[in-house]
Amino acid sequence: MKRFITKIVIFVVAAYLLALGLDYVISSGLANSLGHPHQAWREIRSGKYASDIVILGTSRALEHYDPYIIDSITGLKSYNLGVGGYGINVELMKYRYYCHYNTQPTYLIYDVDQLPLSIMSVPHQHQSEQFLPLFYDRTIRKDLMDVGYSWMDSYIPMARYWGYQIHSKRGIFEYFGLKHYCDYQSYRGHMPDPDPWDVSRLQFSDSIPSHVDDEAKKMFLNFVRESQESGVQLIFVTSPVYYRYVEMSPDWNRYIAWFDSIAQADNIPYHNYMNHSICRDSTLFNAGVHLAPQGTKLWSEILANDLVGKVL
Amino acid sequence: MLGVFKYYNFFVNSFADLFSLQDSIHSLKIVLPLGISFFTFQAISYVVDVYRNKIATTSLVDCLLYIGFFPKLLAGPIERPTNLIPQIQKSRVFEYDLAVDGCRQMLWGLFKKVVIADNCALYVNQVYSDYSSQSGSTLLLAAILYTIQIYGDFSGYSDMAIGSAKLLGFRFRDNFLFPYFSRNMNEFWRRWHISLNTWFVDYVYIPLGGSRDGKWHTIRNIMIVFLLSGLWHGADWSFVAWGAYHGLLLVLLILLNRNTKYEHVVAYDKILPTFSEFGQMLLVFVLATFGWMMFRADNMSQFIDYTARMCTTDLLSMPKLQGNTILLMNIALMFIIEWFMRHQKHGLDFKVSLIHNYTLYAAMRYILYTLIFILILLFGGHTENFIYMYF
Repeated sequence: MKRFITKIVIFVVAAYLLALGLDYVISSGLANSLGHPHQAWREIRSGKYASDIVILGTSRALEHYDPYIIDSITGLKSYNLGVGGYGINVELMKYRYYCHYNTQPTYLIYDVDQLPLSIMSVPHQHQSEQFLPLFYDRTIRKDLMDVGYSWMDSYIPMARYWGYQIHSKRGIFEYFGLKHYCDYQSYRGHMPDPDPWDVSRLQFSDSIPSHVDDEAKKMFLNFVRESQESGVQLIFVTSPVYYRYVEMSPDWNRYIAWFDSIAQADNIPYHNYMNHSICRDSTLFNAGVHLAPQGTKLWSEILANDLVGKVL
Repeated sequence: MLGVFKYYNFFVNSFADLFSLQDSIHSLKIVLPLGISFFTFQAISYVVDVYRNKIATTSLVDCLLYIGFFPKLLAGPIERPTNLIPQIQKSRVFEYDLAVDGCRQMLWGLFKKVVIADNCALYVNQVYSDYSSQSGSTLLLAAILYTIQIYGDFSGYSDMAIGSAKLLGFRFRDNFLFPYFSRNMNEFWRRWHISLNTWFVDYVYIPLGGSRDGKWHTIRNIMIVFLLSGLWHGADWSFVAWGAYHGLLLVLLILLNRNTKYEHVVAYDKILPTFSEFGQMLLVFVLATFGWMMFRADNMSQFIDYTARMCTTDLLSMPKLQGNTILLMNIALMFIIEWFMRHQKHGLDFKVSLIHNYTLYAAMRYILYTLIFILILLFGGHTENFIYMYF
């Protein structure tokens, strides 16, 4: 029995060390990956992307706000912190991470609509592989636990990579320089969606929560208060939505009204583009709530010009 | 119990379909208990063996432990009271070799389940969910991968069950002995789900007369056993058809006088099989794959439609691999390891040294364990329930 237990202990220790090494290789490989979505986290961590304007929100923020255009019109530097497929808990986690490695922005554009008003669990959701290498960074580990990862993900090597075999393989290849994966590259966090218009995406995905979470509302209000206290100028923006989508989603207007009431109460500039003429041109969209690249360029120009005239 | 939980709705609905009585039937809305077919058969074994005086009645606790012993509760192996109850009753001492072998068998089972079966399932489920838009070659590849999936899934579970029982000092009956290395369907059924097949032999086939009363009685008995076996797997006509198909394959062997009962494993004293043996194994694999297509289909019409779509001109085109090259490599690794271990009980059964140099042999073993462990870490994680858990 003693011999057996000794062997089991040796096996467990060896297995742990092996898994630890593998975890490190994969995480390092992914963290240094050139392409989206790891690219933005790496840029943030580098501390070289401190910006005057930071854009916050969901995939609508990620895809709609082109920092290249905004910077060229405003003369300021901007960075897009949009994170696709998640709610306010993940958006704020990314913002805190940004603030840890970079100076606080002067302006914070929050792309507001129904979608940030939810709290979502991260593991195994849309592009959740972007969070896996971050566990080596103590500054965000607790936040990652708060968005749904367990202690096992944090302390058992390779546990969080289970079910991510494509990304594990990529991490190894990247680490050893065997192959570099760069399917999509973002520009200062901005990642347009190149897909063509697809009428089936008009009503958006069923996986997106249609309800508003009270906890998310509370989180949003706290964030507004904290931002104002720390001297960051908040700007609410609702980027264009294809008009037929709004017709099919009557709740949308209710949430917009809620943001409007906060903006008025706290004296926050609010630019709502839901009724802009852009919203009636399907050639500028590729889904009900997502602008196509040509729409993004056009609208970023409009927004930047409006901001220069009214806020900045 | 099986009649109510598993077969009531099937027979009532079939009866209603036959006589167009759908509106007036009353089907049960009950949840099928996990592993019901397994523990029911074990309970039957106990009753019959006590009746036959093969084993004495035991205490209620021992009997319940025999039926509900956790490693085999969900999906077997279907244990016999003559094997398990004496082990329950005697006091056990720790056996080092048995425990080590149990650990190896569990590791091998885990590899087959999470690296092979679960990843095959991803491809297979994706193809089956939209099979009408797939090419014939992709449908064929999905059928082949399902053949491997069900083997990895079920034999993987069995290995883990048998391995964990060994850790506790129990020896279960074998359930799989490399069935895809069989030379005919008779040998296949002696190597596939052995505990169920021997159960049917002992409690159905032999009481019916077995092969004692001439060829036609043998054929009748075989067909009865396989129809029951099909029905045991699931309450649907596709399972019955699957059982009938395998029964007919065995009947064909008998009629053609090809029902060879091989004493030894294929290529017993050789490294590689002969061309003839390879051809025989390939034929068994093809026949088994065709059977598994019936098994996987939601119903018979889907099976017919799937087969028709598969047998089109683009059967010879390149199938969609969808980045599954590594899966194919892992499958190849599994079959290579099993080929070299085919004389043993499982893929990591190193009781007998294959090489004379002990140090080299030990080093090779540890390299293999490490490789398997890394593969489990890298390619595991797609959670798929055990297929046989639903039977």
